[in-house]
Amino acid sequence: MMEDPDDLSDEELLRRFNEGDADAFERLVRRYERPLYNFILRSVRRRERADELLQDVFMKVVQRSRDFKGNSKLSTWLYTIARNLCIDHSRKMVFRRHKSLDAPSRSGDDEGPTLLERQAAGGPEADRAAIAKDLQARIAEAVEELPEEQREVFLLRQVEGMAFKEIASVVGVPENTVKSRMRYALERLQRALDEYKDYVRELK
Amino acid sequence: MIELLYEELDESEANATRAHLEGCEACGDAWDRLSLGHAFGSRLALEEPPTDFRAAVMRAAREKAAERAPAADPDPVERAAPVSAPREDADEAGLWASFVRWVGGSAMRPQFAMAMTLVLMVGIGLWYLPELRRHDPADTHAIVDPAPGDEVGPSASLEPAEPLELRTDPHTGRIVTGDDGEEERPRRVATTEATSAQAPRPEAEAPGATHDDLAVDEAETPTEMAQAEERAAERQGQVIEEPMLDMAEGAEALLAQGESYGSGSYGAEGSARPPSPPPSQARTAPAYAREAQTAPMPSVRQPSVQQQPSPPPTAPQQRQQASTGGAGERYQLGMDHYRGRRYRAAAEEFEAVVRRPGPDRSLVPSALHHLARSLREAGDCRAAVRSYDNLLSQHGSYRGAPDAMIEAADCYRRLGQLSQARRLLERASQNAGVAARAQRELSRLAVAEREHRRASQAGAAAEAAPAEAEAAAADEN
Repeated sequence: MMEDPDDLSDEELLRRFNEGDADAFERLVRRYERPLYNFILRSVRRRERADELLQDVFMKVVQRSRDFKGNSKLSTWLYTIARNLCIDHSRKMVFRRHKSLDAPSRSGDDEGPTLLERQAAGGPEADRAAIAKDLQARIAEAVEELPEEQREVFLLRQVEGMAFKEIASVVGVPENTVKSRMRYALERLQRALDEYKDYVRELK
Repeated sequence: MIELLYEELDESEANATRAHLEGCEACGDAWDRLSLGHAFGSRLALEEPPTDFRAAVMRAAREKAAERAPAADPDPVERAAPVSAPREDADEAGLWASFVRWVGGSAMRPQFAMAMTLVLMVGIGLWYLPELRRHDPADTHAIVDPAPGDEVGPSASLEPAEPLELRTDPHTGRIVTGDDGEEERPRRVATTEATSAQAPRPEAEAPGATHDDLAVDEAETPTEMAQAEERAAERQGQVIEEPMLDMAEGAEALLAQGESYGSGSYGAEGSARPPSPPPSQARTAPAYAREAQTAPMPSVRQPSVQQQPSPPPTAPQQRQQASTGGAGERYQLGMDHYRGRRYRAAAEEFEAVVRRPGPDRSLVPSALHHLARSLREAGDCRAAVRSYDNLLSQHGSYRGAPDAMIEAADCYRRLGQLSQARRLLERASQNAGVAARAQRELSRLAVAEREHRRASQAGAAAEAAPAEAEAAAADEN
């Protein structure tokens, strides 16, 4: 009975790649490209650079796949590589504050209407759609405005669903520190997006 | 609260936390804020990655896989075998899993691991065992000079060691060690003549040859031992190289004024003497010591104190023995006393030899040396230094002179005559055979000199204090 490749663990796929199975590596890429990309994207906050770094991460994995000894999860190893590349990038680049990638484009106005204005302007259905879209942009912006150490913890948890213990291995700090950073990140997000709390509670 | 929010608490802990949150307003507010932030964060939209990067990555991956494929999977049959179930243990990924599979499959893993561990342990043990055996902390050529500050007490190293009871096998000429009982002593006198008869060289060729024929044992000093070994080798016809001939000129300069110097042992002996064996440390005596080789070493004992019977002495040897008369016997008696730690009795015998050596005066230097040693061992350093001085001044070519210098220096040090001690040690340090010992004694002497100076200063201060008190009292009055 043929096994389902999707049932294979990350470590097994990498092992097969080390034995010459390129298809196993492709499965790994498909499995991790989206979360890795979002982690990198929210860290460097430039799409073009995120595209390059994503490729760099997987190229490194190709070249150094045999360096993975299996002492940790493969996801830990992958995100450690990605994080290191992002750190290298941030050291090279001068940080520039820029608009969020998902900031809504407004013609003529630097700042769009507030949530109250939109609520007052349109009907409920159109309003909700706009609010949702706006919320997403604001969330992305708020995440990007998090301090770096809080942001990476938040992204690893939120994007990859990584356990706090594993996050501690990736960032190299104690688990309690990871939890503290996560708490601060959530409190910041809450303060930054407080005006949308009623909307979010309704969604809940 | 974070653990509760992300469901990392077990059920009991979660229930307890929730109960607390319901009862605590502040914690409840904090929980609300965190929940809201979590709600916002969970709504973070994920971007889709670009698709163009995949082509480049997979191209590189296929190239790498192609490089690895032949080495990783050489057996096509194995490749066609059904794929085993995915391993859940991440630690078995990689080369180890491949190696284990190569050994024989999953069933062999524990056994193979145990076998490899055992092989490793045995191998490591075999590897290190010779190293441990070879390692001998004493096997070092380093000459360690003791730090002066570490020295305490008199120089114990100058305590004369128990004379070595070395005997020479008459057949091989090699030194044979071992304990000889009292009952063997009388046989020595008898065997002396017997083994002398076996000597290849007739006695007439070398003066005092009787003592040359004496066994290579009873070497009181390393120098003496070496010389005795050389004579034993000579009797066997071995080629012996003359050690350190080039030291003759330099050695002459090392002697203090008034000390005699050998006229050149090699020349004095004539061509009959074969070259000596390669010099050891004990054999690197200067020429004046080598010259003393011609004068037989009376401190050596009879050769073959073996259990084998000895032939009767020949007539020339008997005459030779008679010529030394009582001096030889008294010398041996003195040695017996010395070995038995009866130093006063030993001193009397040696002194008798010195006073009445008989026609053959070859015993005198050694007797004088042992007299000095016996007096020193008996605690009479004053008499001992007189004997040492006589020995060094009258018998400068005596082969044991360097050792005598060090011993005399020890006596002078005990007597508080540190300058004399230093003079002798500095002279002795120029002799390669005893240089290391002399240096060590100089280090100890330096300690004694410092203590002497300190004591002198303290005494001077003590004397000055009453004088100052008197002066102060006089001023007051």
